[in-house]
Amino acid sequence: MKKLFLFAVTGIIAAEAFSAGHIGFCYPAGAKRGTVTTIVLGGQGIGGKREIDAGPGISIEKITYVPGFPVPAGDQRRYMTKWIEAIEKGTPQPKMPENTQFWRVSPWYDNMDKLDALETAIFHRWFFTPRNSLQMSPSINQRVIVKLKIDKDAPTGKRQLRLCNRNDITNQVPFFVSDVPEINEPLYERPGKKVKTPRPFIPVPGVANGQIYPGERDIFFFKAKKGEIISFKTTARELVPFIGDGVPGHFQAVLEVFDSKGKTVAFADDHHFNPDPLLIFKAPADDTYTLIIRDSIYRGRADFVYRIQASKGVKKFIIPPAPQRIRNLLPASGSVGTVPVPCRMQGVISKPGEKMTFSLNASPEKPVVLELFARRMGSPLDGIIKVFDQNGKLVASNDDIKRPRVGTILHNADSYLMFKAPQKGIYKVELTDTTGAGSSEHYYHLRIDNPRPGFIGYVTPSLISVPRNGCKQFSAVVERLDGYDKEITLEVRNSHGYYLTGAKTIPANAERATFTLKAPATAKHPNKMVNISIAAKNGKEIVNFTAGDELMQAFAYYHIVPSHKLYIAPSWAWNAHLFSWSSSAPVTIEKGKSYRFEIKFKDLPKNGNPTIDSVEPIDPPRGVTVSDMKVQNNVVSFNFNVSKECTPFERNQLFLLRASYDGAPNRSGIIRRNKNVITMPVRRISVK
Amino acid sequence: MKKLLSGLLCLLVGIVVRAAEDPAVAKLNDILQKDWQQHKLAEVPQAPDHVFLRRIMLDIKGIQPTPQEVKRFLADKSPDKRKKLIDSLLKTPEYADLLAMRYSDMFRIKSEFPINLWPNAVHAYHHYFLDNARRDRSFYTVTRELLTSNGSNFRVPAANFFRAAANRTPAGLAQSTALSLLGMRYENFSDDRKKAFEGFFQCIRYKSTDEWKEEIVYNDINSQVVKAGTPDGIDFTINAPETDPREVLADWMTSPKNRYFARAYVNRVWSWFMGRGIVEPADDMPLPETFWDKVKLSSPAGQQPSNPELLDFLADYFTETNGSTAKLIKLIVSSKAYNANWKTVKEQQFLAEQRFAAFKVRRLDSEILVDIICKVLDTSESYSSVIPEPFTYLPRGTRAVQISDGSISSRMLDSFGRPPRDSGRISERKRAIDDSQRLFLMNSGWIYNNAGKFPKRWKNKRMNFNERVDFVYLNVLARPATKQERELCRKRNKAMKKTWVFWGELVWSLVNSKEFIYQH
Repeated sequence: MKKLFLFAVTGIIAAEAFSAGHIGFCYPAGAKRGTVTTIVLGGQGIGGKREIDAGPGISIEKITYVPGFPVPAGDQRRYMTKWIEAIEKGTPQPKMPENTQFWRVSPWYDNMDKLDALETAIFHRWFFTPRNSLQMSPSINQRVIVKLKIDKDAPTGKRQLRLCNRNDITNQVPFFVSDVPEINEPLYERPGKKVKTPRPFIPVPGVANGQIYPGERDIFFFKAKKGEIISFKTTARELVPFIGDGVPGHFQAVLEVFDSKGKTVAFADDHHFNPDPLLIFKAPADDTYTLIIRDSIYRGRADFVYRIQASKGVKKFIIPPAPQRIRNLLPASGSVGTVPVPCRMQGVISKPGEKMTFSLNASPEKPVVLELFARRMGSPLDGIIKVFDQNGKLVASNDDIKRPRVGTILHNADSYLMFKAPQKGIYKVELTDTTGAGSSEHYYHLRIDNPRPGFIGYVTPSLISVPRNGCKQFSAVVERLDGYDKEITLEVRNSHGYYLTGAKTIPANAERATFTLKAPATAKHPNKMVNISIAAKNGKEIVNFTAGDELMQAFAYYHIVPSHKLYIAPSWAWNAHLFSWSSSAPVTIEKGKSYRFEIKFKDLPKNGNPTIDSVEPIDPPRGVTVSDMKVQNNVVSFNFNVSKECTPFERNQLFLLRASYDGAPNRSGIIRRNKNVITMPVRRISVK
Repeated sequence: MKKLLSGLLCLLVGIVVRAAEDPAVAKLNDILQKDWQQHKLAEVPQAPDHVFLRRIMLDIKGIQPTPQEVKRFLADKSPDKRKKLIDSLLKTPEYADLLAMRYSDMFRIKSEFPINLWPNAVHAYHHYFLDNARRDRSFYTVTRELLTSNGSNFRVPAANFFRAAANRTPAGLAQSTALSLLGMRYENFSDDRKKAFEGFFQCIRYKSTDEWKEEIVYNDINSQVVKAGTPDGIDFTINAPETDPREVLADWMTSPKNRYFARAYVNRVWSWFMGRGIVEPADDMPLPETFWDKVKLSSPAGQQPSNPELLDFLADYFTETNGSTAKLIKLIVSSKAYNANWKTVKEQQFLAEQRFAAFKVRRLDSEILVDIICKVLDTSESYSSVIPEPFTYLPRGTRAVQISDGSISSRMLDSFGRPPRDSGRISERKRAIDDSQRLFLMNSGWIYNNAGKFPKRWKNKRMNFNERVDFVYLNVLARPATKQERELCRKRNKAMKKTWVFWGELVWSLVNSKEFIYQH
């Protein structure tokens, strides 16, 4: 019985570890439909997953897990180097030395002659590159090789690719399905190997895929006739938008074109505000040109992946239609004079310094909302709105406003103004670019409207592993619109039995709150990974929250990158079902005072000498501490202390209970304490 | 009769050559000649071809000529070969690299403290100057862009002009602008001129975004009346934001009538090639005469141009050629001053250098010296930076001249005086040779061991002893060995027990020679 218990515990811990899989990059990040392609996924905890979720028309033919490579040293390294040379020459394997007792073991070490070209390239790059130079990061160290079949009628475009099992799934990475020829950069060759690699010509139209390692520049070639125009659109940051331990926090690609004499003839760093360069090249002469891509500051790592799409001519620029949120407003027509409220406008700041002006009637009783949609739609416009009275005096203005960090556009450059006129009259509104820029691509949509309080919601992460016997936290982030300040009550839709436990609302005026999701009772449990959705009501309107993942940029900022779906995967937490709050009522505490919380629990199993070690509040506000924890009579109690200097707040506070028990003895007979975390349902706490 | 005929022939050739000479070069030489005559300086002969070739290649490209280039140039008998050489050098990518390095010193392109441009902006800003150098864009146009650009430090490179300063207050920006573009020491301005000049910068604002270290430069939107004035006493009342004070400053700065701007720039360029400015230090230009008596003098007569006519001529030429740096450089290196030999009558040596009659011998700049050492030894330094993550590793073979970031350096570069780019002053670059440098060159195992590998270069070539000696001299000193040098080598080689060590020692000793370390 004891052994069965320990086996179950070990298996459960292993399952929990796998469900935390994270893909750092996918290379190549695309393929032509109607082909079979081999991709390499780099990440952490991605082993053991056998299926792929990448949308219609993409399936796995084969999946290979790259094993770990314990570092060989001394004679083992020398022997392996000799054997590699023998493989390349086609000569027999050298004789193994007698004493290999302390040699490091890996499945590929014994089968180097059986590796295919890609496996050999992966292994050689690891083996021959000095360790630090690969800029190894645990988040991308693990490799999985996947052979994908792309159906010939698979829809083209950008997909979200994930690895999954029945009960867990990784995060998503972009994957493109195209209908043009695609090439990859030549495979890595070890230093000193004499090899004649044919020059890689990028097809036009076509795509070149590659990876930039430290100090690398990737080289492609193309032919062009004099006057011919070829566009090279780079997708790099779009593939890995945020690198948590990267500074800058993304691959900043630059493109350079040289003629056959080695002279630079074109260069591109960015495209407006987008770090991914777009190079529009007009050939000065008939020639074979060299295209080089690299990081702007010569960094490199395995997750510096890119796609360069080459196409003839220049794609015609089309202004996107108005966003859904304002499509119901009537467009302002004719030349802009005095416009009605509400309405919407569309335009372009076509020249540097150009201003768009119009007038509107306003009064103190009726605020007018002026909201710009430009940068968040992809326009380079850094808008600024100014409002002048009839005397020409500036009465209101807005440049940028703070919004939740959602998406990959890093500058909230769109202006927002809720204009309350000081007196009734006609006011002149001016829209221009803050930096004085302008071009045919500086488009905008402008909303001129009465306030319509509401909100847009996001849920993170997009995969929540909810223990079957407990609950798990997630965050909800809202962008409050037009002064919406009320409490927002969340609900679970398409729930498969999952429900919110603990506090269920985002406090009034708050942008963010933590919630806990609980699994249904065992009999009703779906017993597999499912999709649910989170929503809230704004009057009669149902607002669906978009699922996303919060990614770190440059050790400093966090950004929510939207995903298509919210996945709930089952897991298990050590004895989580035994713990519950004595009371789940909201708590109000005065500054300078404390509140004693209580968690009651049923009898813990006696095996393993379990102890309750601590209760930890997660991200408490400044001035809040926890102290004086006592475990007595099946109750864990602790003080939640609020200092006098603490700023008043109202929030959903998450608490984690930490417990430990003795694990099974290892081969050497050593018994280690296994540490466990139990998520408690969030509590609403107000401090006045 | 024969003598008379040959004399007439020389005169005729001189007249023809003179007639073929660029009028600007001729005028420049006249100005120089007049000054030398006034100072009673003996005529300094033109530098020999091999000296000129090495000199100009180091000054324009930052690299020594290859043995093939030396042989080809020495064998060329055409009278205008120097002119053709100059024209070809000014079209090379190495010229643009070296010019971009000079601009990077001038405009303080550095990612770390105290400038804090940050690596991504450093790359963008450096590439901006590199591209300008490649295309020989008018420096007037570039200056206007620098003064008036708004936008992201990453996406609008010229916007970094108002970020590349340790102090970003109006006073700090006034100081850095005065130094970079006018070559003037702001601390010498009178109080009212300081206040007036600062006015041009009081509307500059910065805002950040959610991209790490991105900063956007823009103008204050609030209406205000700005009082601003130039160093030469022209005052403006500017209604901002309708009129951008920086546009007003740019109009004044780039006006063809602005002598201060043109003089400062040509003086700086002159100092790059001649080793000292017409005003020395080259970034301590005389302040406008209008308030001369109101300011405290910070330095002795060195602030005054040693040859005002020369300075004005160059400034006028620069303006007439619409701010073309390539044309200015071509003019300077075509002059008698630049073509002169370094050695003259002993008693006149110092004065001749001061008056540009003799070429001023000076230690090579740190980056150029490190690059030619690496080239001679057929090796390379590796440059990296731990500021960004993943770390930056510049590709193998990157020359020191090509390093964009003042924060990326090496021990060798620092010990030979590479400027830290903290203030942008010319004095940051150290050109003096000191004992630590000498010791490094003499004791460095890296130099000695790589010198020992030199004979591998003629592994498959059949060369006799003299040819090998020439090979070494051509590669290291960019000239063939003299008869005496060959003889000396023969004796030394014979005297050595391990003759194969001789070649490494020869290379080592030549690398340690003044002829190698100095620009002459």
